[in-house]
Amino acid sequence: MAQVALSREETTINQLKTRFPEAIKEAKVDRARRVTVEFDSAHLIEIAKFMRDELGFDHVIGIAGVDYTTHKKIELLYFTASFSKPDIQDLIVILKTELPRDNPVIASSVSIWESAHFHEREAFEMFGVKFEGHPDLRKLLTLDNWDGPPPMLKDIKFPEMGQR
Amino acid sequence: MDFAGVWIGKMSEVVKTIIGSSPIKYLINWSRMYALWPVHITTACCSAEFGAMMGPRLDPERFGLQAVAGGLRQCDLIIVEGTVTKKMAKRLKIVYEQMAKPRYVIAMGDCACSGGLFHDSYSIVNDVHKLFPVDVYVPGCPPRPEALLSAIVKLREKIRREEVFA
Repeated sequence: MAQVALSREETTINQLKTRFPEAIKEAKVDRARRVTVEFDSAHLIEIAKFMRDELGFDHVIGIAGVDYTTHKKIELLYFTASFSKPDIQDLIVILKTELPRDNPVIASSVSIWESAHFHEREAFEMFGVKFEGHPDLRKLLTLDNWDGPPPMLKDIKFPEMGQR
Repeated sequence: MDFAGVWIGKMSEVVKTIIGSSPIKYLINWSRMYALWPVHITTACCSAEFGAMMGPRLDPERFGLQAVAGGLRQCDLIIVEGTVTKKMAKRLKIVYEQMAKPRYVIAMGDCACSGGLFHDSYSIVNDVHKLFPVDVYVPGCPPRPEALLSAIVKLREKIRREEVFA
């Protein structure tokens, strides 16, 4: 019986799992062309390096933050894709990791993916996530004289705007 | 000589009185009505409807509303197209201050009128009328191009009846 060829999504997951058996917590194919990989936040740099050099995912489309107040965690999602490899250009791998809500610190991935620069700055100002090793971690989008808390955290309220 | 018909005072006052009390003011208002040039400043997504309104289907040029690529000093009208963030409010105010008088403002969309969808956001100016006086409000999210055109017709009506030197 002929072996069924693995799809690109499953191949990517298998490569990641065999390379990082303990860092990858969970990996699944969401649908065609979308893969979600949950990993331990301490191994970000190794995984990012492997993704860029071996698999060809050479840029970050975006870094999203999600604030879970009940679970006391902040989730970071790195949307990575490829320009250089034509066969995986439409494939997006979502690297998902959890950070503690009271002290969200993670290594900066700017040294691996340069396009993460602005996205990390945005996550820093909106969620208060500290990216260690970021070359220029400043505010990006809020007002120039903004000195308030990170506005996207769910327990931050702005009573002067009528928020309750 | 007989000085009975002679007016003594500042030249500007004399001109204002003559123009304000004579049919010349209708001529001036008529010319202002037909030369409403909007500033090209886009604050948010209502600009798509503004673009549809400026197109050939509704043809606002028959009311004198013309898309000009000139400077701000040639423009008469700001159409505040949608949400005004606190960052953009500063720029909007600068644009308004640069325009020559008389200048008119249309607040387009729910966001510009009262904050709309983002009324309790930390980064939004709810009331554009705190920045400058607004002539016409157009509610809607976004308003139809026809609604914006009717606002321009309303504004023209307002200009037709206004005092020249207000």
